[in-house]
Amino acid sequence: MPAKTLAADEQALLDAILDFDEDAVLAQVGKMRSGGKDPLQIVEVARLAMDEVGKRFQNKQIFLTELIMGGELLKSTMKALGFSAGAPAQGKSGKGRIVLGTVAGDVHDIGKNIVQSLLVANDFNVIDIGVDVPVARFVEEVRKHQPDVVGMCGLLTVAFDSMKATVEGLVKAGLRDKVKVIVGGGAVDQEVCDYVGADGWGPTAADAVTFCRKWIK
Amino acid sequence: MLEKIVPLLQKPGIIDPLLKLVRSANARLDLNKVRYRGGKARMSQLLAARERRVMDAITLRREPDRVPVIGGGVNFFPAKHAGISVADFMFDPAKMRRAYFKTCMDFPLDTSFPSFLLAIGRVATAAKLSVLKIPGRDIDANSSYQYNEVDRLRDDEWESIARGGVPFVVGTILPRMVELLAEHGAARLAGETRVALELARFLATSMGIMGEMEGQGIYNFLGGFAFPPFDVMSLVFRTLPSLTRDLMRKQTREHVVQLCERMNPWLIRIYLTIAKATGLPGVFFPSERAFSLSPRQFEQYYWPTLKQMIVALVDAGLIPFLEWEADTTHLVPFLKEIPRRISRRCVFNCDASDILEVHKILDGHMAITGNIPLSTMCIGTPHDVEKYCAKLFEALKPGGGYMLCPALGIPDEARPENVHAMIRYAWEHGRY
Repeated sequence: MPAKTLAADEQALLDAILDFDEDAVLAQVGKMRSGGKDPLQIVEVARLAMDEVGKRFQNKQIFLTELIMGGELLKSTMKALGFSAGAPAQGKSGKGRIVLGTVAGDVHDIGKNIVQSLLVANDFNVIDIGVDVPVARFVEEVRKHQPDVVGMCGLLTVAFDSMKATVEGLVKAGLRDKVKVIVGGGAVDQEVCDYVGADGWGPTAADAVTFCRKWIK
Repeated sequence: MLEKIVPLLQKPGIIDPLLKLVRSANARLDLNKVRYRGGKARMSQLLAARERRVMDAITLRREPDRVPVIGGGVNFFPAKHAGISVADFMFDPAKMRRAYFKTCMDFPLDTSFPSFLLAIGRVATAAKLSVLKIPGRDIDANSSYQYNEVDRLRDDEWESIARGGVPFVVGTILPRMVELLAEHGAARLAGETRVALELARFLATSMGIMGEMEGQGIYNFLGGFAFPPFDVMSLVFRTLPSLTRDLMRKQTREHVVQLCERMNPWLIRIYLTIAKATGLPGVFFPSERAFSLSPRQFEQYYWPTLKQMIVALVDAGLIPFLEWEADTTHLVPFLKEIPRRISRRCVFNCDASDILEVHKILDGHMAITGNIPLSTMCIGTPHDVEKYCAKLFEALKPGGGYMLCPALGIPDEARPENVHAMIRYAWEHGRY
């Protein structure tokens, strides 16, 4: 549980989020609003709940579906309060910049989208360049946006060589030493990370947030 | 017309005589002429030895003569190995057949998924199947087919599907998967004729290959396939993010549970029909979404219908090959709920779960296979493969009930020398 002492209504909201029940979350947000609670304080509780969701996920107390639900509930809370959902997704502020895409030959986007949502929920600025992204396009987007981190996703084994080719493309373009590269997806592990020449990999979407927090100060 | 024919095919009074007729015509046409490569007696012995070895491991009735080494859910490794594109494998029966047999001969596995059944490019294209992205048609010719995940059941259609049931699925959802069904008149009729012709060609090719396999000593027990209702929900009706949102809301949560329950008997009938058509006992049975659920969610949404499905398939004489993708260690204890008469007719294919923990939990309840990382098969060395096999053998070989196999079958990009290393390891160290 978060260390901060919460008021009873805040605790009730936090419990509803950690119970992953949107009906209960929205009812509690409504109750807090009609009781005159500052919307920013409500958002703060939702962010505290997200931190707790992240910790529980890392400790394997909850699983992927609940992790996604946590992000969705943060969005619903923000929306119910009249804020735009989450931090800017494509380009404006945020703590740092991440170019994210699924590599050539692979059109899977679920993992990429989960990583995108989690990074945005953690106030990072994500430039999502889509799926089946050829090497040249990755290089072009990196040159254009000058990100801190490049995230490459892929579920299929065909993605291993595409990731490797993309990193080589960044090297040839003289951009590799200007960015950190992270890889992830179904069959990615340390062996793939080494093969590809990435700086990090993670078995879960939450690892992308951990790396970005570490690398972007 | 297709909507009328498909339900008829599920009736034993129709499908049984029809299959008999097709098999008899096939035999007369000599499409499956058996050519015994190394002499009939030798090939028959090889086939029998492989079958006994695999079945001894699956049923845990005794230790096999050695650990079976299997390909598991092989997809397009034969195409890559033979140097043809995945699109060629899916669309060109002659190239596919050569690639399939070359791979079977070069890699003498005890069994593997008969990947020639994936050569559905022409049928899928004639039917305008949009549930899959097909290599050469929708995506790169050398990529594997991939699911086209969209919300075919829209946010505002939950009530309609709850009220409409199967007719709503057939009338509204199916045309969003098989676009030919959305057409009318002459275009529809012409399309259905093309589907029928391509299907006949696919069946003739498949049956021909199945007949030839015997002569080459190739043993396949896997033919049919099945998906748990929750996966059908997620792969066909709702994308994973949408389904996740559905589970956060009371009303849609109840709809998900009800729909899984209502679909289950219908899906079971379809899977039994497919298995019957192949004439093979093994049912390739992936679970692609289970890993994402907590035990509480799994118990609520996934397990009740999956358990019913497993029992129904085994009761019909089939062998479910349960390929649970990603890390599902936290869900494996549920398998202990299945009675042993059922569990010992199943295989647990372990992807990225902690296989040592899985072995401890299952404790002889069910045969285990899988777990050599796909990365090791694709970019590791033969020495890496051997090292991993040694780790698996030390824990899993004693007592039987174990088959050596990569995590999710031989990956498309596996290095041939790594597949050889896996087979060699079983031959050299697998004897009991």
